[in-house]
Amino acid sequence: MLNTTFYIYLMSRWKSIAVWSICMFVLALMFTSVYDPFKGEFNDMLDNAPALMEAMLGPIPTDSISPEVWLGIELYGLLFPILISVIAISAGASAVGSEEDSGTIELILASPISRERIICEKSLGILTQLAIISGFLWLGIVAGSFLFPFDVSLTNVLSATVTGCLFGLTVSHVTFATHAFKGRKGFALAIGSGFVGISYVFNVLSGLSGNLHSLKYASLFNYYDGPSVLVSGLNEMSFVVMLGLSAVCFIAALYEFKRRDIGV
Amino acid sequence: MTTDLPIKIDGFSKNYGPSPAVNDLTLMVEKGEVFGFLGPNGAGKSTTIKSILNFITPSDGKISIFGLDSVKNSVEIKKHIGYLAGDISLYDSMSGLQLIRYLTRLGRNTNWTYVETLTKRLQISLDPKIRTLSKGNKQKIGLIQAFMHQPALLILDEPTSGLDPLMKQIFYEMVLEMKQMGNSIFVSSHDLNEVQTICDKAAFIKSGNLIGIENIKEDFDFNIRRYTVTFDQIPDTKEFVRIDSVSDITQNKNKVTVTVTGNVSEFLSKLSKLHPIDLSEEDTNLEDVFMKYYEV
Repeated sequence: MLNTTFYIYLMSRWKSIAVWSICMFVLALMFTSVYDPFKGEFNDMLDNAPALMEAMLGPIPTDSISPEVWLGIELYGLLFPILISVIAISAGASAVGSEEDSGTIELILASPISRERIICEKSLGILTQLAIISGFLWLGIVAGSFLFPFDVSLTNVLSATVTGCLFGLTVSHVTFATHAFKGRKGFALAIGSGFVGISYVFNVLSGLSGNLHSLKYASLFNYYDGPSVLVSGLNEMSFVVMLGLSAVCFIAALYEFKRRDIGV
Repeated sequence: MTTDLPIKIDGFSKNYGPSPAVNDLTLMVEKGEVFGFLGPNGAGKSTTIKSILNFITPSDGKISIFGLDSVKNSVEIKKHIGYLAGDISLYDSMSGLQLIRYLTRLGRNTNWTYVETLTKRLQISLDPKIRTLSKGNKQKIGLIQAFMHQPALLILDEPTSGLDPLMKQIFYEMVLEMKQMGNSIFVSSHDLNEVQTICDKAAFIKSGNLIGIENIKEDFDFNIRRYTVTFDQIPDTKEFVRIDSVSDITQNKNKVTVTVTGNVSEFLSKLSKLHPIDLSEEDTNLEDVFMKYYEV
């Protein structure tokens, strides 16, 4: 894979990947380290949690807070999906977008390489980028579970991390497909951000009112649901839905990039 | 490759919105030919080149490269093509060597001995990062990546942009060597001398329409000049009207501007009798030359 568009994609972003990976690792370590000192205060706070907080963070348990629930509220409920969305939107818009903007795409297109292969390798690059960064989050929790009193199911944490990574991949493929369709990086960034923003609003609204309950099916956050995965393990159905949406967007990107005029 | 014909463009049109960027273009490039593709900015040169390379899909017509369809057989075709973009963009974070290795991995059959020869001839090192190079040196890297696999068809868009006169001369030699090897070159240029030096044939395109194709080496006379003459008093321009080689006469008081096509001796002879006090030649614009030639 050396010197392919996949490799070049990763090499051109290695600094960003390294910084995000370190941030995720440190973030995970931080949350595992503060669990023990804060869990008592946190239990008191949750007993009086308002409905809006539950709608925003997901179902809050009434019993004593476990490390899984702690991670679900503090990290996997909102922070991780938002951070991975930021990375994913940027990656989806710039994977081909940066090459088109700079003009280097012409060097690739003038070579005997199909457009399908370019899209596949770029997509693989995005997946690898998200997997590395998410992987460091998991590694941070693994390290934290050894360093601090934090007895957590590492299998469930891994499932939640993989689900979060798939959430990111789906967001990036939405952005990627938008760029493939329009060829404009700014537009793709706007659509990707809007998609995540609306998804989040739908998820919150569906938890606040029974009338709006069905909105959750239109929200990617509903299928992600990291806090539940941490407690109950992988939700296969939600995983398949995200995988399906990601695949549809990828195929759309493939189709559009193949037929679109480039370098106009 | 199914035929020896490097480029065959048949009724090619490309529309962006209501007005066509290129309209019903038909031309052929023969094996071992250096073919100039000329025209003013916005004439449709880049659109045509990008369609040959399948960056852009034709709205109508067909482009064949070595007998293969430019759209359906794009990947196969590019094994035999070298391309230099007009405003070439390279990966700034790579060195020249890293770029060439990368492009080799993308499927170009690089001749490394030839790469070494080119770097020596063009007097450039492939070690520094591209971001540190001047425009001229970036252009040299661009030339190396286009020539490095000694492609059967070279497509060059403004290839000498940023090169100094010495390097231009080396580039002309490189082109002629490729031609002697039986390879074909399709070159877009604004430089009249360049076209005369390297091209066998040239096509001129304006507003998306092909104006004409000329055999440069044999038939075409680029000897069209525009002079401005200053007299000590207001002259009688009727003297110039009678000369066949003179046209486009404009007068502003004691200054007269004329276009002279071909031999200038009769014009100079008449002129000397009118006691001019100054004579200047304007830069010859390629577009003007063609426009004049075709009287468009």
